[in-house]
Amino acid sequence: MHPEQLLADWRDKAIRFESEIEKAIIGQARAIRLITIAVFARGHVLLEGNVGVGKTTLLRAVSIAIGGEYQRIEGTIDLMPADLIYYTYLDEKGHPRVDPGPVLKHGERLSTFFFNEINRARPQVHSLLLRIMAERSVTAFNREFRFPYLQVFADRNRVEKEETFELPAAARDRFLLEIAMDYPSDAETLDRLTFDPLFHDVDRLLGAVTPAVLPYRELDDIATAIQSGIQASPTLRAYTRDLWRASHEPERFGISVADADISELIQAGASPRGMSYLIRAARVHAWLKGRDRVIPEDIQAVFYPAMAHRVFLKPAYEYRRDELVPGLVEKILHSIAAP
Amino acid sequence: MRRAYVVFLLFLFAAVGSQAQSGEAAGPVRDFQVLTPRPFGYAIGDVIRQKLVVDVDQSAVLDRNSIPKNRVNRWLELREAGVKESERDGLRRYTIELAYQTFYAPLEVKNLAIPAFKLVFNQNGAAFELEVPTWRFTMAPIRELSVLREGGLEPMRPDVPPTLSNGTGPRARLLSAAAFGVGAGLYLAYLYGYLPWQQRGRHFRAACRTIRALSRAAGAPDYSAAYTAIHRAFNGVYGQPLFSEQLETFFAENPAYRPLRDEIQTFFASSYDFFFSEPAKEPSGEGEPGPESRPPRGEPQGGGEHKFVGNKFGQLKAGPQGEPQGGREHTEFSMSRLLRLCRDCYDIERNLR
Repeated sequence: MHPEQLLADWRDKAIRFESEIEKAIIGQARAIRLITIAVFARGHVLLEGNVGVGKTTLLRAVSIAIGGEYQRIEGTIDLMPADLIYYTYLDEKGHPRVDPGPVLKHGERLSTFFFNEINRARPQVHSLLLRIMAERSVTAFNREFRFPYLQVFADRNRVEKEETFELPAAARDRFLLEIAMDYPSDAETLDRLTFDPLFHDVDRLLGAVTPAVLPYRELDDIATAIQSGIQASPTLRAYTRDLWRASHEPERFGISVADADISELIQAGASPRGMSYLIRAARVHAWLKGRDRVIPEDIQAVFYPAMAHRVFLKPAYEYRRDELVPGLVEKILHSIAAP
Repeated sequence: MRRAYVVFLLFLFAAVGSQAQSGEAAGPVRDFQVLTPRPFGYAIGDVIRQKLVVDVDQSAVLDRNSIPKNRVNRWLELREAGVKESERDGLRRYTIELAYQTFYAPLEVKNLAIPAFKLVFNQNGAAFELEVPTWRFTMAPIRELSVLREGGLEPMRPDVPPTLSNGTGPRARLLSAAAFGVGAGLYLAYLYGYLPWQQRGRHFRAACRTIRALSRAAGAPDYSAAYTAIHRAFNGVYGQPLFSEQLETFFAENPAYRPLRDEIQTFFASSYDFFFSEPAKEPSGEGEPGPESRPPRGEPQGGGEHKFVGNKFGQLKAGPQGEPQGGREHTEFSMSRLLRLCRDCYDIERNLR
């Protein structure tokens, strides 16, 4: 098939994918769009949001619409890496048995892996997860298991700080996007969520999602086609470079944040991997908008979810991260001119 | 007996207020002189200066704490006590200058005395003292206790009014400095373009100037610089970088530009085409989405003036499929159209407020 035709066909599929998910999740159009971007950029996602906003429902809807298998695990303080790989029990005849754990159970067909409350798990688990995310493979039972279609979604508990292990910088950097899910704010959506019995039964709700809208085995190919098919001009590259520099040295671009010494704010800006993730996501965004080239608006649309968790503040400011980083990113976007 | 006589004589000299006392002293003190002023004619507030000159062995050191503290007694203060040290002929000479001020208010001429004190010297771990004798003098009141008005004398004369110093020179210098400062500030404001008549239309005036210079330049016109100049002007008017998705906000905040809405939107679409399409790439078969409002490629652009104008990317235009105009590389805005847009915007910006 002609590559342009391929991209256009897949774009229709992506739009259909979004509308299928919107059958189950309402009032989260932005999060759904970003999840779609992550799916087509083949990147892992860190979900951010309070309890009960529908993170699990969203991910189950995504896994149904992608096809493939869905697996979910709860992060706890006593979870060990081995618990992800196998579990042991006595069978009905009293013999000890070792069976594959949640990660291995579905083999290659595992397409969506949801790690709930990832910061409750220990660093040992984080490092195993890092390997799964980076290499899409894990070694167990003396052989290597591969998960070529795996996409990891993780959720971070922001309320409690006790008995949590903050994700190390390397781990946060490996997530393509950090998607914030807020409570819907418009009255109509809130009313529907509260009073419509449709939303009381999650399983019935998810039954409305057509399974396997996107064939998960082909996603890698189409992701490659998108990345090579969407252009990024020299001007856009210069714009991206400026954004990157501004995330490292905002003071050089005259950016200031209220109530903080800007020259003392940043410990480390975005990594080169972060920038490549940003452009990957921006290309998918441009493709979803039906363009064959990236324009600054595409970068701006994914800049916050792709960059905010990659900017590391100095310890003195880290505790005020939630109020400082949005302002900083906003200022960066509003200070750098494209042409 | 003889020694007691010498001491008595010294005391006597002190009592009558001799100009100087000097003599050989025992121990390490080789010479000791007390130089005093006249012992009479002092009134309240007068300063009495005494000078002590002591020659001691080099091994002896004055303990400076032995000089009296500034408050001597109820009516006498020690204002200054300067100690100078010098060495000469194997001797150490201390020159102590004392300035007493008396606040005694006598009703008639009165005998008073600056009390004696002891200077302490340390020599090889041992201390010895040298007594500075009492010095007597008389003080008198400033005026008679009761002044008779009948005698035509005022009880007190008022203070002499202070004379004002001549301020003409400093005032002239201050004025000239102020004039120079204001002038320099104005010049700086002129350079920065802060003057009110410069503020009006400054963004698009700069853009027009750039584009005019570019269109006069020889060779292929530099569209990149021309587009950038207009973008800068829009960014300046908007106060932050203006992207095409924010155009509606721009028109809401700057309603004066609404008459040019179509032209500005076309300009942004064309600029995005110019800047964000890779010139070397063959355009894809995909249609442009609706909101881009970009005229279809290859279609003649409006009237004669708007027709395609070659630019520096002209050589790249022939696509592999032999299509004469790739459409990606050319700009739909000729230099004259850019300049016209710029002038229109300048007119709007200049007439604001």
